[in-house]
Amino acid sequence: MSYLNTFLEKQVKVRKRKTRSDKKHVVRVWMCDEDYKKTFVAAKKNKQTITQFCSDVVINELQKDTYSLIKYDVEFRQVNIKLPLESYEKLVDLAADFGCLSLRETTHRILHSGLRGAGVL
Amino acid sequence: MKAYSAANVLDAYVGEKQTGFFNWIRSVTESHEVKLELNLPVRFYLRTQMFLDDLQEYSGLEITMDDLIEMLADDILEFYGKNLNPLALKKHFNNLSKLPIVVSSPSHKKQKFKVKISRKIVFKLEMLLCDIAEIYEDHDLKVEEILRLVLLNLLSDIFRGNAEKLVKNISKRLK
Repeated sequence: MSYLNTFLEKQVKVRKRKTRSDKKHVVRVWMCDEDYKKTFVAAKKNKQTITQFCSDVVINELQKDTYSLIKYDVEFRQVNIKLPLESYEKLVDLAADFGCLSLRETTHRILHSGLRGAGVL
Repeated sequence: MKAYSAANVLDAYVGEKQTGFFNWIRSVTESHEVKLELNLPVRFYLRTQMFLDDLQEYSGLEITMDDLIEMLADDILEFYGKNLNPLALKKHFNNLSKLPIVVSSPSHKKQKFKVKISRKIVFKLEMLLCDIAEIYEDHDLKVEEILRLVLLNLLSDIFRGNAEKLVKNISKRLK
């Protein structure tokens, strides 16, 4: 039961939790069915999950300067890309360089560029 | 025994004259209500009256200053009855005395007014202050001061925009 005198109510203390220093930022990228299957096979041959594989591809690809232009469209499948903070910040800078594209579209371009370079697509 | 209110209800029970005849005379002659004199800054007194008028006009609740103060006092006694911790209440009263509205009140012109409260409630409040005195012998709290603090706290809640919750609570208690 709530009291008429508000000072008698229990004060709810909200403790703000610290975020992990190695917290990952997730970006979801569209992929067509055919590309997804090829990426899945490559990931499994590398003994990785598709998320791990694609995340590594994007992190490595972010070291480069040039990326090929790829048509961006909503596709059937989604791939999760988990990026550490430094890679995420590089991605944000790239998105601004590309003309303020969405992070999803920027990551899509980088991922596909990386997968083509690795001979997966 | 120290008096914890102007009415000093507790003394009538703890005092020397405890014969059965005296108790019978007292039960027949004394009223069930006690008059206490409180004081608030004029503006706050008028604001409380306006709050009560608005309640009557817009919510249809029949409530007077006496009813409001009795409800606030009853609220404290309910908390004390459930928690049985007089020191927790002492801490609350100390915190209330540090509210900006309370700290600034001595500098304003005062409005004195009398309120009628149930004798039983005043007795219980005096008993609470006695309980606090078992640990803090020199505390200078009186029933009138506690009622003044809770009234100012109520106004402080109204100024902070929490009047809606107050009105809901009051209407629940009046039904």
